[in-house]
This record gives sequence, C-alpha cells and structure tokens, in this order.
Amino acid sequence: MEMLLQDLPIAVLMGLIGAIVFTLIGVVSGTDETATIAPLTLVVILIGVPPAGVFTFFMAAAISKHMTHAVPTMLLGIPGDTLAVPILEDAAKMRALGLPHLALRKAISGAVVSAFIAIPCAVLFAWILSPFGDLITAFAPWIFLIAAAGIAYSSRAKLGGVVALVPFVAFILGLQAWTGSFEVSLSISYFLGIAIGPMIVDLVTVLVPQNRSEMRRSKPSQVFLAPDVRPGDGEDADAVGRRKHAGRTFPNPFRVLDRTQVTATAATSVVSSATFVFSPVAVTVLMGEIVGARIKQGYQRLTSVITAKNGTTESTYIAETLIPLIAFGLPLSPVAAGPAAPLFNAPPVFETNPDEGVVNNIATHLTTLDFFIFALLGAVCATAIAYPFAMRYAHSAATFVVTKVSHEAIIAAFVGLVVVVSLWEGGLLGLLVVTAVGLVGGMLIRTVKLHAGVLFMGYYVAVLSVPGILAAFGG
Amino acid sequence: MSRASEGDSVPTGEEQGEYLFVWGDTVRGRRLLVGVLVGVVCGLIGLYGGGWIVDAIGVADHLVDVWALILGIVGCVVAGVITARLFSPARVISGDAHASGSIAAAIDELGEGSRGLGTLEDASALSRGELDAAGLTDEFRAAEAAAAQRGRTGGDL
Repeated sequence: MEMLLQDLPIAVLMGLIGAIVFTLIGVVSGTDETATIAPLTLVVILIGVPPAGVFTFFMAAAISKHMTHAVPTMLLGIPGDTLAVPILEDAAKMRALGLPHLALRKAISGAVVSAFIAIPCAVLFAWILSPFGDLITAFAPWIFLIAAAGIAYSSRAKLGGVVALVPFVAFILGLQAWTGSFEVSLSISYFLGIAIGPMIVDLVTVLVPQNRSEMRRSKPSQVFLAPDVRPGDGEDADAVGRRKHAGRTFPNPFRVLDRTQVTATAATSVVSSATFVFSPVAVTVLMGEIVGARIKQGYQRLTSVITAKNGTTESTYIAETLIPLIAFGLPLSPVAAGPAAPLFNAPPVFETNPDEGVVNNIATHLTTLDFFIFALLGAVCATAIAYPFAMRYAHSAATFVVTKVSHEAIIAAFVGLVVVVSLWEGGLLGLLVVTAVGLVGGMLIRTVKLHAGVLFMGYYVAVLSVPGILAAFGG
Repeated sequence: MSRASEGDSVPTGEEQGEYLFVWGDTVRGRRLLVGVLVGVVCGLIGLYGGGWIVDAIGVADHLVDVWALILGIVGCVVAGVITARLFSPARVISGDAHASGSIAAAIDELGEGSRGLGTLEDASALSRGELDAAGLTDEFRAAEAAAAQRGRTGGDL
C-alpha cells in the first residue's frame, strides 16, 4: 500500500498526459491504435517513468482514444481508428436521420459506463485464471499457436487465414534469422509494420502505373460534416434551464442512455471482458449483433447498438490488457501482442521470453491491486479529459481536422514515424524489416482479409512458439 | 494480356482525374510525394539531429537514445504540420443531410432485417423523446403504417 501511495502522484501526472495527448490524437481519423499508443508507451517506459506511471498512461491513452475516435466516426463518417470501423455503418444511419451528435453522445456515454465496469470484471476474470498462470506459462508456446489459429479462424478469412498464417510465420522467422546474423534484435519494427501495413501497401501500389490509373479519382472525397447541435437544442425552456444548470459539457451518461442501453452496455462489457483472446474488432461486431437481435424498435435498436459497440471498444482493450498481465504475465491476446506490446517487451527495461526463462515485464513490478487501482485512475483521467472535450468541442475539432489537416499531412507524419522508429530500433535493418513486414502484412490484410490482431499473434508464434516447440521435439 | 494499344495513348491526368485514392482518402499525387519526403526528412532531422544535439549538451548516455526517439517523433508531428500548412485537404465538405429523401431511406433501412422496424410503443420514453425533439416521430409513424400495410397485403416472413 505504501508503494502504491508513493507512485500515485506520478501515475496521476502520466494519466493526465496520456488522456490529453490521446484525446487529441483520437480526433484525427485513421490513427491506428498500435501505431500511436505503442511508440509513445515505449518512450514513456524508456525515459524511466515508474511502472505505475507507465500503466496509467497506457490505460488513459487507450480509454481516451476510444472515446474521441467517435468524433470523426459519427460526425464525418471516417473511422477514427481500427476499432471505429465496426461502428461506421450505424453512424451512417444516424447521420442520414440527421442525428449524428446524438449518436456521438450515446457512443461516448457507453464508453464511460463500459470502462468502469470492465476494469473490475477483467481483474476478477484474471484472478479466476491466475491459479493456472504457471501451467499456462509452461505450455505458452502451444497456447500461442492455438490462440493464433483460433483468432485467425474467427476473422473474416476463416480457414484461409489459418493457412495464410503459416507462410507469414515463416517469413517472420526468416527476417529474425537474417537480422540475428547481424546481432540485431527487433520487436517494435514488426508491430509498426503490421499496424501501418495497409498504408505501406497503398504507397507502393501507387507507384505502379497500372495501379495508379485504377486509384485515380476525378473528384475529391465528399465528406459530410454534421451541423453543430448542442445538448438542449429543440427542448422547451424548462428542460433547457435544467440542462444549463447541469452543465452542457458534462452530461450524466446515465441520463443520455435509457435503461435498455445501460443494461446492454453493462452486459456486453462483462461478456467482452471474458472473451479476451479474440480480436477486439470481431468482439465489437459480435456484441453489436447480440444487442441488436434483442430490441424490437428500429431507432432504439440502432442507438443501443452504437452505445454497446463503442462500450465494447473500451472493455475489450481493457480486458485484453489486464487479463494477460495479471493472470499470465504473457502477451496472450491481440491487444497485449499489439498496442500493449511495450508493456511486455521494451528492451532494455522489459523483456518477455518464457522460452529462455525471461519474464521481466510490467507485470513483474505491479501487483493485482496496483493494476486495479491504476487502471481505474487511468479511466478517471480519461473520463475527466476526453468526455467533456468530446461533448463540448467535437464539432470544432472535427471541423478543424477535415478543413485543415490534409490526408497528405497524415501520411507524412506516419511515414516519418515508420522511418524514425525503425531506424532508431535497428538502423537500416529495422527500416528494411518494417517495410517488408508492412508490405506483406498489408497485402494479407487487404487481400486475404486477415486483421492486424492475427498478424500480431503470428509474430509471437514465430518468436515464442516455434523455438519452444522445436526445443520440445529436440530440434 | 495485351496492353500494347494503350502504350501511345495513356490518358492524361485531367482525363483520368487529378486525385488518387490512397489509404482511405483522396490525395494529389505530387503533394503526396512532397508529404512523404517532408515526413522522412523531418523525422531524420529529429532523430539524428536531435540525438546529436542532446549528446552535445551532455545528457546522460543512457538517455541520449530515448531523447533521440522523442525528438524523432516530434519531427514527425512537425512534418504533419508543415505538410498541412503547405497543402489544403483534397476533400469537399457538404453540409446538412437532413433531406426527407435520406431520412425516409434511413428509416426503411432500419426496417430491413428479421426484427423489422417495430412500433414506437416498443421504444423507451427517452428514445421517443429524442425522435420527438428531432421532428422524426411522424416519419416513423408513416413508415410503421406502410410496413403494417405491406404485412397485410404481402404476407409475413
């Protein structure tokens, strides 16, 4: 308890920084979680922030991002990040009804409710699973293999995804062996390559003359920007007065949502906390379908699905981070293998390689109580920053992004990021690896319909499972 | 596969379109190239230039590397800002979509699928209030009536 109190000030500071930075990043469409959260979390680790501060930063970052990602998704029809994609179609229907701001309020309220339910649920599930932690560590190579195959099969690619995983794993093994011959060890370059793969594929594709002609458009993108509608518009004077008293910037999420929506959000938060090995995108889609199947009236169904889906984007990330850390200390989920990867591997601070008997990651330094408290702190920081920002400044932020930030600027920043992180980690070899992994991974995502979570698990199969299984068979 | 006949008659940019659809949005080709170059250059200046400066001012050895990464990431943000200042977005912003045609189509789409549109009596008081405030109650009622009529004349699923 003394250590917890000692770490509290730095955790609060880092939680606020994470919340502020990722509240702003979340508004920019297309900012993939792994490509943004992972590098900045790595920086926070490497500058020597204590584990409590690192973890609070990560949680505040992830939770804030999945609140403000709803801004471009609902108001512009452009996904804020990967996890906003399952909500696009529902957002389009609300825009067609002329109610995008209502959709935004519902989505963000669902996110707040879900985050505070998912944290204790994830800790509880982790506590239930933790007696099996040693057993799971002993069988980790096989578990990663089975989890990767299962996640691949549960993706849109189905059996094709499982098949495609095999050459992808071989590809990673080849790159690892090649860079290893120069005594260069890489990790974040692989994650970044997978995350940014579709961008790398498109940039290479546009260099091909035949492809370029197919990518040409005679007109620029049409973007619908919903008019600014503040809470209280269209209500009578008494309601407006009550609402002004309550504050327009921080409406009570339980008053934005009806009982069905609160129940749906709570239930999906609990269920999605338990399904921590599956792709967050797949779980979000599944929760939306389950909720939608139970509601009769079309409009209520639509708003409830949006609420539950955005809530699920929070609960999956929370559970897929907390459960692997608390129960196993191994990155046994797509989120732990992707955006949370630096919490497990950030040389020289953290390293996770059970095959060599090395497990020194953030789970080694924090207790279950620490994880619970600092996760809650992260949620509080995120809610305090992202929730009022999204409620008050959503329209201004969306207007700024869509009128001032060109897509060329976003690509410029991400190309720079890919170059910087890969060169920093491994010099020219890092740059070659990120480009190769990006191209191959991006093509698998585009053509074989795999998703990044499968590829992240494929990386861990290559790094952990294959050596472990070969060793078990005396190879 | 023969594309020989096209070799001397490649369509011009104006004929094909001056925009390219890259990574989910439209860009202009030359501006994309400039943006990529700006991103690379600013990133490298931040990473190596920043690292050199940090080393020169005497920061502890074990922190030089980290600061180089931080400054490299700052360089990427600067690249984004520079490119945003240089080039305006290749987007057309349209305003209000509150047209009766799109609303009716949206309500019809809600009625598709096994659950159908339902009736407003099945919705919560809050949902009915939201539709009231948006002026959509009559449109939903009309769609319900049309669905009921189709049910009487067309038979159930």
